[in-house]
Amino acid sequence: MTTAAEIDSVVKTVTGWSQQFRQSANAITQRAHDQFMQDTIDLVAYSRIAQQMIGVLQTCIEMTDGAASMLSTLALAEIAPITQATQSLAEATAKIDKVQDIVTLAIELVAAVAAVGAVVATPTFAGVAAAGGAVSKVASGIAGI
Amino acid sequence: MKAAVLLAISSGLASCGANFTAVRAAAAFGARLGTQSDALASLPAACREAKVVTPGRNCDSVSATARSLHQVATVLQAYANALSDLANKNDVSISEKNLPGASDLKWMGSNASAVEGAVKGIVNVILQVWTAGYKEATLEDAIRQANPHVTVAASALSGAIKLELESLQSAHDALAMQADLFRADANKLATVGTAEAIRGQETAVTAAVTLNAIVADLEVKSQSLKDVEASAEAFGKSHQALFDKLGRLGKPDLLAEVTKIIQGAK
Repeated sequence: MTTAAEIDSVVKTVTGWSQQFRQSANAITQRAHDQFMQDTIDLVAYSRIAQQMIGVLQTCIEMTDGAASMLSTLALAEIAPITQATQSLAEATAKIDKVQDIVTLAIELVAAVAAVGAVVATPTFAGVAAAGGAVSKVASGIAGI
Repeated sequence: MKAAVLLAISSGLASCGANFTAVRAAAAFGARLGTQSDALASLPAACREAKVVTPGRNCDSVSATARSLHQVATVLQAYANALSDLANKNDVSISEKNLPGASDLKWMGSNASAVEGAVKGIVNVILQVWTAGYKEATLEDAIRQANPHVTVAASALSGAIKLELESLQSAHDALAMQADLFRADANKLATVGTAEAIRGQETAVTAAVTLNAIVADLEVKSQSLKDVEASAEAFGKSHQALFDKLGRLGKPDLLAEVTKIIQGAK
């Protein structure tokens, strides 16, 4: 498998070549421009040199575009395991919500059992209503999990 | 600029005193890719703009590269958001609930609420320990498994953008050369003075101005792409830093260490 260090090395090498060619092309064109300004060469000669150097830059672009395309293919090949890790993290986050729901429900369940126990021991209208409410709350909570 | 952003993210997280601040700091770089990656659409546009001097350039291929890079940036952003969501998740607690059976403590009088509070405190500590342990174990598993892929994807993304920035610079220089030629042509024609030469001079000046406008536009596009490249590089390196510190993700001192590693890597 390719490493990040190997990728960095390829990028540095290719951009280094491109920069060298580009700087040389710029220097040659600038020299031709200066010679044209000093009437050492005519416009046709200056134009020919500049067009040749634009051709050099075109080659640089093809080289850097090609390397970028290769890296984009390499990067695309890595996305499946990253997507899988994303899914695992999302499931874990959802699980914490679920556990919070279960902890809340467990507390309410114990409260409902206590309320029912109290009604059985000393039945009152208010006690029955409270126990009914607690049981119904737990039941809807269980249905929601 | 990267250092300023890093400092802002780090100090923002450190001030809230939350756990997993290093994870959240690393994830913040990945999350930035989501908003920045739209700049990748400017690559094929820049290619078409510079066609006047680089007619042989394959803009369809540049467009395909840009689409792939955008897809990679989107996947990295989603992963960073998932890391951040879990790291930020609140601990499971019963803080807002009355404990069942609390009414049985009434015989304790004024001590009843203190006892209930103490029980709640113990239960919450147990739940917090469970949540923190679960979050740490899950984050570590994900970081361990994803690290080789995240570092390669982030490095390839930032590297490809660096190369495309170099292509933009070459196109920029080619346009500037052609613009200089048009200006030289215009200056030459100005000395001739005939009506035809004046028309030719005007055409050459207009062409030079048009090319200079494209050059300026390429400079703007380059700046947006540099931001994407910086975020991808920082996310890859900070993820590697987290991987190197597995087993200590919940430790509060890790943020400073990760920050130092990222700054040292630049």
